[in-house]
Amino acid sequence: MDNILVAKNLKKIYGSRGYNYIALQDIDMEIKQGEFVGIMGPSGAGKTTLLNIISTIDKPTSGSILIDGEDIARMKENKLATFRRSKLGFIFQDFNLLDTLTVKENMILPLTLAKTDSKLIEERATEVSKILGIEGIMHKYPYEISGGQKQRTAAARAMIHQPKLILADEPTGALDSKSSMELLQCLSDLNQSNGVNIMMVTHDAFAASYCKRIIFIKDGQLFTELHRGSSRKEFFQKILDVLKTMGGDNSDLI
Amino acid sequence: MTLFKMAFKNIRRNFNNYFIYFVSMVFSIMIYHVFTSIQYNEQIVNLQEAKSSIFATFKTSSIIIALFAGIFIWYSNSFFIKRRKREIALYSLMGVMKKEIGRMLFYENLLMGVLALGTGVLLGSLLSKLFVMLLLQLMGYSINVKFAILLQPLVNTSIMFSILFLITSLHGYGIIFKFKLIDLFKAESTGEKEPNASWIVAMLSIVLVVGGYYYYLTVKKLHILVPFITLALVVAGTFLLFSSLTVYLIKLAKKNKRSYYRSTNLISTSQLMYRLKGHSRTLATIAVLSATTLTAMGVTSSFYYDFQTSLTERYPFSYVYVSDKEGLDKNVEAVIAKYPEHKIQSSVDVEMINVKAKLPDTGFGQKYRDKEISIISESNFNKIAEARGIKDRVYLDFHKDILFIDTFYSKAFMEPYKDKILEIMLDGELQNFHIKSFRSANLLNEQIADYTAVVEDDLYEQLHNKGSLVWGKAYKIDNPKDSGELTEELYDTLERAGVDLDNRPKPFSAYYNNYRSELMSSGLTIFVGAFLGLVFLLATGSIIFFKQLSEANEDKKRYNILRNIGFEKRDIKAIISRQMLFVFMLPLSVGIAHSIVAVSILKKVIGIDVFVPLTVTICAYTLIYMIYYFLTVNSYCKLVESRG
Repeated sequence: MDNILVAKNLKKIYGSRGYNYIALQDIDMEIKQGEFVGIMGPSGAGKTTLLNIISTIDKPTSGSILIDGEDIARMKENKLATFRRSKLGFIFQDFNLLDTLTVKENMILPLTLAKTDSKLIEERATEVSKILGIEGIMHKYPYEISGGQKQRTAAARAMIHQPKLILADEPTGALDSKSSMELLQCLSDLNQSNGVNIMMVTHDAFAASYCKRIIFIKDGQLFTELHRGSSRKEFFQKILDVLKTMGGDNSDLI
Repeated sequence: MTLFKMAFKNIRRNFNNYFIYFVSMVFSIMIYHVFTSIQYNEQIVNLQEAKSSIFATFKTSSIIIALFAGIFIWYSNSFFIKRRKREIALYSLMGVMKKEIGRMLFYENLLMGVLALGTGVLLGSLLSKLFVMLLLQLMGYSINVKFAILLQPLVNTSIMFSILFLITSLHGYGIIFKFKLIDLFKAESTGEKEPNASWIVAMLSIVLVVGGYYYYLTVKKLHILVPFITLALVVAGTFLLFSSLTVYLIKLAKKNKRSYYRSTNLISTSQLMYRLKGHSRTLATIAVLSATTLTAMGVTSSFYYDFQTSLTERYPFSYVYVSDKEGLDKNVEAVIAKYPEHKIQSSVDVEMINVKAKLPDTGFGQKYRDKEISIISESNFNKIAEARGIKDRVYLDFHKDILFIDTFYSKAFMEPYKDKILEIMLDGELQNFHIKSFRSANLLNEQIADYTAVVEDDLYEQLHNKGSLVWGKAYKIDNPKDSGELTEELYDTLERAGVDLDNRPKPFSAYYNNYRSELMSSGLTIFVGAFLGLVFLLATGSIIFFKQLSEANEDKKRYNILRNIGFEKRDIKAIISRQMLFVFMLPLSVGIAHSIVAVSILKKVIGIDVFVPLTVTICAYTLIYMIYYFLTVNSYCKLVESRG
C-alpha cells in the first residue's frame, strides 16, 4: 500500500524571543491509501496545529511532511494554493458553504477552479450527489436545507475533484446526533467503497468510532494509537478507555 | 479618559477609513472657499464688462456646492456610524450611556469637520491666486493677479461649513439612539433570498429608457414639458433597470454553463447578482448623478469648444456698419489704415431698404410676427457672399419669389419658412411675397439685418423709394482678435460722424467686442462647470467607495471560505476586481448614455458640434472615476485579506 501522507519529526513552535510555546514536537505519522484516520486529544493538545500544517495553511518550524510524495513544508505560497485545491479536500465544522450559491454550485467550486469542462462538471456533480444522497436538493440554497444536508454538501465539495486526502475538522460539531450519525456513515461508506482517504479531527468519541484508526496526541506529542477491530461498539469503548487514561480536561470529550 | 480624548484617538486610529471622506470634504470646502473668494476679489469684480454676471455665477455655484457638500457629509456620516455599530454596541454593553457615546461621536464629527475646514480653507486661500489666474486666462484677460487673503470669504466659508457640520453631527448623534443592543448578539442573517427579477419589469425598464430617449430625440417641437417628461421616463427607467434588468441579465448569463462554470465566474457572477440587487438604488442614483454631471460639463465644454466657430459664423466680418448717412467709408478706412497690423482683407458695399413686414406664421406666436426687415438685392447678396468667402449664391427668376433670412430661426421650435408667404408693408399696404428658399445663417454680422429678404435686382429697383434706404460697408481685417484699439477708435469715429450707436437694429457691429464678451462668458462657464463637476464627481466616487467597503466586512467571511477551500490570493483579487468593475462601470455607462443623449440635443437645436467636447469630458470623467475604482479594489482586497 502507498503512503498518502508521511510526516517526519514535525515540530511547531509559536512565539519568538523570550517566550516560546511548543505546539507540536517530534510528530511522526503516516496515512496509507484507503485509510480513515481520526485525530483525538484534549484541548490544547495540538490537534488544530497539526491539521493546519497538513492543510498547508500553516508551516512547521522543522521537519518534513510529504503528501502524495511532495514536501509541502518547502513549497512556495502560490504552488501551495494549487496543491491545496487539487490534492486536498476540506470539511469544516461550520460547513463553509457560500450562501450566494446553490448546493450544486457550492459542490462544483473546486472543479470550476481547475477549469474543468462543463460537461464533465455536470457528470461529476450528478455522480457525487448520488453517493452523498443530496441529488434532491441540488438547486436549493444553503439557507433552505438542514445542517446535515449542508455538511453532506460540504463533503461532496471536498471529494468532487478526487483529492488524495480529505481533511475533516470536527465535521459533526454543529450537527444533532441523528445528522451526525448519517454523515459519519456517509464518510465511512465513502472510505469503504470509493477508497477516499480521510483524516478527521474530532472531540467526539462516538464520531471517532467510525474511523479505522485513531491517533491520540497530548501536549504536542503522539500519545498512542488505536486500530479498529471488527465491531464499532467495542472500538468506541476502547476509545473511551484511552481518553480516560489520557486524563486532562476530559469533560468535553464525550 | 475623557470623551474628547477618546474621540481624538478614534479618529487617529480610523484615519485610513476616513481618508477618502476627508479628501472629498477638503476638496469641496476648498472649491467653495475659492468661489467665495472670487466673489469678493476686487480685481475680478472690477472687470468692467462682467461685474454682475461673475458675482451672480459664483454666488449661485457656491450655494450649489454647499448644498451638495451637505448631502454628501450627511450620507457619509450615517455610513460611518452604521459601520461602527459593533463598536458602539460594545460601548453600550460595557455600560457607557448612549448619551455619552453620542457625545463622543459628536465630538469626533466636529473634530473631523474642523480639521477639514481648516485644511480646506488654508488650501483654498493658498491656491486662490492660482484659481483666479486660471479663470482670467480662460476669460481672455492678462492681468497680474495679486495674492490676497480676505477676511470676508474666510468668515463666509467658516460659517457655512460650521453650520453644515453642526447639523450633520446632530443627525449622527440622533442615529445611535436607534441602535439596539441585541443587534450585537443576533446571529448573522441566515442568507438572503435569491433575488427575483421578472422579465416584465426588466422589459419595462428598457421601454422606459429607450422611450424617453426616443421621445426626447424625435419630438417635433420642444416645449416646456419635454425635459420633464423625458426626465421622468429616463429616471424611472434607470431605477428599474438597476433593480431588475441587471439581475435578469445575470440570471440569463448563469444559464450558459460553459462560461458560468469557468474558474472564478461562478462566484463573481452569483455574488454580483446579490450585490446589484442590494445596491440597486445607490447605483441608480450614481447613474443619474453621473449623467447630470456629465451633461452639465458636456454642455459647458461644448459651448466653450464651439464658441469660436460659431462666432465666426455669427460675426463673419470684422466690422460692419450700416447707416442712413452716405460716405462714412472714407472715415472708417482712414482709421483702419492707421493700423498696419490690421490690413483690410476684403470689403463689400451694402445697400438695404428697411421696411415693416409681417413674418409668416411658424407656430411661434402671433406677437413675434411684426418685424422690421431689410430688403437687399440679389446681386448685393452675391457680392457679400463673395467677400465673406462662401460659395452661397442666389438666383431668383420669378418676380415675387424671395430668399428669406431669419437668424433666430430654430428648427426645433419653429415650422419651416419655405413656401410660406412673407407680407411686406409697401405704400401703406401689405404685399405678399413667396419665400422660395430660406437661410438661417446671417448674411452680415448678427444684429445687423437679422431678418432679411433678398429680392431680384429689378424688383429691388422698384422698391427703392418704398422704405428707408441705408448704406454701409463690411470689412474683413487681419488679426481681428486683438483689434481692441482699432475697434475703440472706430466707435469714436462713428459717434463723431453722428451715427446713433444705440439704435436698433444696430448700425455698427465689431467682431472684437463680441469675441471678448463671448470669451469671457464661456471662460467663466467652463471654469465653474469644470469645478462643480469635479466636486460632484468626487462625492459620487466617495459614495460608491464607502458603499462597497461597508460590504467588504460582510464579505470577509465568504472570502475566508474561498481561501479555505484553496482559492489563491490572485483568484480572490480577480473576483473582487471583476465584481467592482461591474459595480463601477454599470452606473457609469448608463450615465454616459444618458448624457450623450441629453447633450446631443444641442446639435439639433443650436447646431453646435458636441462630439469632441463631449468625448473629452467623458474621458476625463471616466479617468478620475477609475481612480476610485482602483482605490476601492485595493482597500477591499486589504480588508478581505486581513484575517479574523
